[in-house]
Amino acid sequence: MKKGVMRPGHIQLRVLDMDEAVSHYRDLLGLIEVDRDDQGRVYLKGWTEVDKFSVVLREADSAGMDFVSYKCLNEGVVDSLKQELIEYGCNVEEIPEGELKGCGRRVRFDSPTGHQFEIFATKEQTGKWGLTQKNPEAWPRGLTGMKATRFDHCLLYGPNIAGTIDLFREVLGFDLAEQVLDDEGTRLAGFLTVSMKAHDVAFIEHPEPGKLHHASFFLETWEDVLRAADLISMTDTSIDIGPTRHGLTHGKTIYFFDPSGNRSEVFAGGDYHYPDHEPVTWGADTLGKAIFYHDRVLNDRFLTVLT
Amino acid sequence: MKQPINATPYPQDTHRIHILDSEAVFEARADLNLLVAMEKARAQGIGIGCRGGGCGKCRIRVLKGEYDSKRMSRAWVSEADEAEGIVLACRIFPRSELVVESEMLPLAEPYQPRSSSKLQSAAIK
Ligand code: FES
Ligand SMILES: [Fe+2]
Repeated sequence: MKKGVMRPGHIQLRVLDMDEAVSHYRDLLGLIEVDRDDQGRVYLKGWTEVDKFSVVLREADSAGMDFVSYKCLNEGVVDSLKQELIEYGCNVEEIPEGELKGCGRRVRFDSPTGHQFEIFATKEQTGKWGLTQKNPEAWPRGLTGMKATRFDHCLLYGPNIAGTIDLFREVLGFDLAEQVLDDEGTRLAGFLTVSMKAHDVAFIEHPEPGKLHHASFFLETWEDVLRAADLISMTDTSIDIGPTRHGLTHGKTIYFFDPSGNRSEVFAGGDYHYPDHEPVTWGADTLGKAIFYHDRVLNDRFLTVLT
Repeated sequence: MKQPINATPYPQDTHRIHILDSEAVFEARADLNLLVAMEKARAQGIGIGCRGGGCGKCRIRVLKGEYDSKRMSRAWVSEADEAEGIVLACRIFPRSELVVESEMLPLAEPYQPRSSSKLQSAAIK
């Protein structure tokens, strides 16, 4: 049941070297650099996104994800969900307006998988980059690299995904769109949506808490995914796998790494989900095909290379 | 040693690398990180992950030799580790002949990224 959470709002990633990271996210992925702050953080967005930013890079001595944040309909939703999160048993923290430039107050909470999440409702809206609000053209000129259109979702690894999935469904109103079940019916992976997209966030069971598998960005077509692959080769960027298709969500995809080892994905297509849809289920015995539909074999890196 | 690397120093230089675990020996270019140099030589013995100093998969101990290094994730290599020659192969650049061996990750859990997790055992059966 929808509870007023709309979509992924922003993700803050730790990087080991800011200049290298900016050239990955801005020049290669083609995100738009929109701002920097006095902590040295860099703010970016995909050109179709109406809010000011969706990716924040922070230089640190480890890689990984600081938090991912979901945008709600209004402040009233944030207030009531905050109360529900407290009652659910989360550690909840108010982050004041302006801590991220152009963003209102955020409510941060922890989760059984060891990840930090946030909800918020207010962010400066700068509109789609390079287009007018009235009579917009099809796309802006001056885009670079893969021309990624938006931050779409992230895949997170941690222990007790049952707990975090329950939190997202019961408190935040996400639906379970897809899952992987083992023979005993234990859920090893869950793909959750709060929209019509096949996933807005995904979880895979894993013993280390708080891990990031990838941050994913949307492209329009399979041709764009191939062109992204060309750019990965041209720039000698660290490749993981692809271009290929996922069985889960059926998205067409390529995985590669940023210069600090965080995995990036760009993808096109994929299934859609309505709230009355039963979750799509994959068996653990066909896991290879569920993850990499063409190879039908899971590579070891998919399960073990995390930040 | 262990200064941040400058852009492509001594690209023509190569150094001989010995990996004790796999008994691999290969020539590594000084301008490539050790992990990528190993891949290019089609040698084996060091775990291949992100190639960016973030995932810890290529953690090794350098037993002998000189190298420069770039920043690597403190989640996998502490300052004390680094002083002992424990590094991430994808963040070091050989400056002499090196002898290395792979090094387990410092995790509280018995889990190691190179060994199986629940999903992995499901994938195997
Ligand atoms: S391969 Fe990921 S840290 Fe070296
Ligand atoms: Fe994805």
